[in-house]
This record gives sequence, structure tokens and C-alpha cells, in this order.
Amino acid sequence: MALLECRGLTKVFGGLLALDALDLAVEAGEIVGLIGPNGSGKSTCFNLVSGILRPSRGQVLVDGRDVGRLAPWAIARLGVARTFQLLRVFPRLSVLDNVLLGHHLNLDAGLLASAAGTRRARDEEAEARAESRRLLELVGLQAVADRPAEHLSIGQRRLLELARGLAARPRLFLLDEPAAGLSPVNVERIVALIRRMRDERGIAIVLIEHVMKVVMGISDRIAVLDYGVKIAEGPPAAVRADPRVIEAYLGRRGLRAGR
Amino acid sequence: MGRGRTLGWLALAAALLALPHLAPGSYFVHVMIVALIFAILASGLDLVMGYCGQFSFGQAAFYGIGAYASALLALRLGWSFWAAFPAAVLITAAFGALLGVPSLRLAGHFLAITTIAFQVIVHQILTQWHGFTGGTAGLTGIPAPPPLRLGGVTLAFESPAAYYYLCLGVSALALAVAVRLVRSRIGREWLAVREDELLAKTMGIDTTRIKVLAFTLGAGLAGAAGSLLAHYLRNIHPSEFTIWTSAEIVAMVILGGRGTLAGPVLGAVVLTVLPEYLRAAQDYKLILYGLALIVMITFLPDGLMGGLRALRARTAAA
Repeated sequence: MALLECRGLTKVFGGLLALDALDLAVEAGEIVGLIGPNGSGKSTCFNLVSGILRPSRGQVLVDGRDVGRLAPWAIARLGVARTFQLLRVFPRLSVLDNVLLGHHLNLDAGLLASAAGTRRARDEEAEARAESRRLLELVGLQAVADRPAEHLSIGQRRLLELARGLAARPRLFLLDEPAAGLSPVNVERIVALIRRMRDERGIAIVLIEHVMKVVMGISDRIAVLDYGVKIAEGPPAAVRADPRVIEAYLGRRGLRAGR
Repeated sequence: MGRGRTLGWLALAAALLALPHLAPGSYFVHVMIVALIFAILASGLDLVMGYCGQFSFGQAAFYGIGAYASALLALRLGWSFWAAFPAAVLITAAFGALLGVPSLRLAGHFLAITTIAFQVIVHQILTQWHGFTGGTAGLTGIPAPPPLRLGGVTLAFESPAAYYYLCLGVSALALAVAVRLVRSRIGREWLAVREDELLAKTMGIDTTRIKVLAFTLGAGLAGAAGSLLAHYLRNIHPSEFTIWTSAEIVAMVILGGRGTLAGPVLGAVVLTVLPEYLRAAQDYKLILYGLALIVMITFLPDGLMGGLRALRARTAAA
């Protein structure tokens, strides 16, 4: 059974068909690239899978279970984490607290234990803190751990989103343009991190990315969307050679950007 | 915590404990009792407004529900304060959970308007339901807390000084629990909802539950304050629990500094004590509150505590 399966997944906004009967399966430990021109329905797909939007038709299955009616937090607790294209962090909280909040879905302490400050609650908190610091070290943000997140640069925020997602110990991580707006050095760093997530933690990754070098380099499989319709799917080399893809996407964009 | 800070807290505690013996006459003690009751109300609202970021104009309604619940349990069922007080806290907390439910669907202005409606409805019920609440005449003859016998010591609560200690004890306990909570995972989740609710949701935080929890606890604290007021004044009127009282509590939280707990307590003391001693301030109380709020939100959005922190950071850097 696939970890994630979209079956005929459709989203209509008013008269606009944003996503049209998408079929897509992601197995555990797989890296799947999701590409397509702007407005082709990639982020809509992420919003449907993470429960922010409700499907108009079709299904989202996690471990074979339909999650189309679940609240976002309930889907997150099934092991689905995500990042945001337009970068979302808790601006006035410290970088460390941002990562700590990623741990929350795995914490046990309830109201009474928290109010009383029981030993278990304190141990759990200390453990989450230590793990958060390790994750900040992994992404290279340990030096700014105690600063408010609003002080971070764009690149640092992208790294923070990765650390925060990893804190939840996801099985599936949806990355929405993790390399956008980054310097070449940071792009290298993100690519290395994504590989390590899969290799060391076995996390399945769905990657929306416009930087072709990144998405072609690390994806096991690529699905191409155009106007909400999946026009191709397969290994990077096959997708790159597909005439429909070249026409819809790589031709125009690839030539212009010289990538 | 630095040594200077520990000393500061000890000095504050000593001053608060010595206060009834230092002040000549009991009027100042009376003012301080009221200030402590408002400190509980303001810290409760701070959980909802400062930490969880949900605007509420209904804190005085919960204050009234707590006061009437406690008074009615004492008058109708003959419960002593020691049973009526915790019951009032629980009853009021339940109403808080109830008001928390619309907050799940509404945000910003719409939620604020809902809490105003709730406030007005509760006040109307207190005024109009003569048979149950005594109408505009209110409830009279509410008994003082009976003496507590602990071991060989008997503690009586008839005198204002003794009642002051009771209020000091309750507010210290309430504040201690609130501080623990806001520093725990629960406080962090409240802040997450305040900063970016959608993000909190996608991170697996049940934002519904955490918001209702803030409303429930904030109301529970208001219930405690209401019960303390009822058994102190011995008679209560709906006029104590109007939307203007709610506005005062909001002013205390904003003046003191949202999301700091210490700030709203400070705000409660300042806004209770000042009008008592400045005649002009009393007559123009609401106008002055309005002006103070505009000035604070424009120049010191983080309130007195925010200002103090900025000052301390600046002197530390210099």
C-alpha cells in the first residue's frame, strides 16, 4: 500500500479547475518531484494533502485511509509535515521555540501535568529541547537559536522550516520550493539535507521545485502538471525528453532561464 | 535568575505581606483587595488575549457569573465559601468553554463582537431575571467565609486585613499556575495560535482544543475573582459586571503589556489605585482609559512591561 495516494483528486475554485483528477502515489522512502508552470496546481495539491483545502472530488489516502475530511492537525499527526512556498514561521517566537513547536504532536504532557510541572513533563520538555538543538545544528542554525525568527534571512527561514518539519518525525515531508530565493551555497546545502532526510531517516519526500538542477538531480520520479492536469510522470530522464513536457514547461522556461 | 531579581521579589513579597499593618485606616486595604481581585481578572484575560491572541470583551460577564454562582450557592443552598468558591470557579470555567466554541469559527472583529454580545446578554439576565438574580437590587446578605481551623490555629476572615491575605493567597496561587502554564508546552501552543494559526494547525497542534482551553482557564480565573468579590462585599449588583468593567480589564491588560502576566497585574493595580486617589481621574475615568489606550497602543504596544524590558535591555547594552 502506498504511503500517500491521490485518486482523481480535483479542486475547483469558483469556475477555475485548479487541479483536475490527479492520480499520484508516493511510496515510503521515495523522492517525488512535482513540477509545472506557475498556477499549474502544485501548491493546491499540497494544500489538499495537508488538509488546508477540502477536495472538490476525489480522495487523498494516507496508508490507504481517506483523510479528505480530517483537520490539518489530524493529518499532521499521521506523519505528514510540510513547508510553505511563501515561508511561514512564528515571527516573534525564538528560532528554538519554532522547532520545539514541531515536536509538540509527539509530546504527552496534558493540562494538569503542565500546570503542576511534573517530573515527566519536565523530562519530556528537556528532551524535546535537546533534540531541537540537534536539529538546528543539522541545518546550521545553532548560532541563531535564541533569536526571534523574524530576524532570520529568507535562506535561514527555509532552513528553519526544514528543522521544524523534521522535529515532527514525519514519514512524508511535502517541500514547497525549498530552494527558491537561495544562494548557490544554500541550494547545495538544502539538496544535501533532503538526501540525508531520505537516506538516514527514510522519509518520503514530495518536492515542488522550479530550480531544475535540484529537482532533476534528486528525484526518483517526477510528475508534471499543466493547468491542473498531470501531463507526464516518470524518471527524470524520461520526463526531460517528453515532448509534451518540453512544450508545456521545460521548453519555454528552460531556454529562457538557461538551465 | 540574578541575585538582584531574587532580592526584588523578596522585597515585593514582604511589602505585600506587611501592607495591612503599614497603612493607616482600612480604606487602603479595601482598595488593595479590589486591586488583587482585578489582578486575577486581568491575568485570566491575558491568557486569552495576550497569549492565545483571541480578543474578548466578556471578562466582566464571567466575573459576574462567578460572583452570582458563589452567592447563590451560599444563599440558596447554604454552602460555605470554601465549597462555593471552587464550585463557582468550575461553573464559570464551563461558561468559558461555551464561549470558546464560537471562537473556533470566528476570528478578529467577529469574535470580539460575539464576546460583546455575550457580555450584554449576561448583564441583561442578571438585571432582568428577578426571581433568580434579584434583578437590579442584586443579592444581599452573602456570608463571609467562615473561620478556617488548621491544626490549633483558627483563621478568621471577617476583617478587611484578613480578607486581604485571602485575596493575596488566591492571586499568588492563580498567578503561579498561570506562569507555569505559559512557560509549558501549552503556553507555547497559545503563542503559536496567536502568531499564525494556520501554521500551528499544519504542525499537528489541535488549535480548537487549545483555544477553548484558554477561554476556559481565563473564565475560571474570573470566576475565582467573582466569588472573592461576592463574599467580601456581601452584596452584589449587576452594575459591577457591565461592558465598562470588561473594557477596564482590557485596558489593564493592554496598559500593563499583553502576554506578560506581570504586566496585566501591574495594570490592574495602577488602574484600581490611581482613580481612588485622583478625584479628577475618577470622574473622567473612562475618557482617561480611552486616551491611555490610544497612547499605549501607538507608542508602547507592549505596555508598561514591554517598556520596562526595552529600558532594561538598553541600560544593559550601554
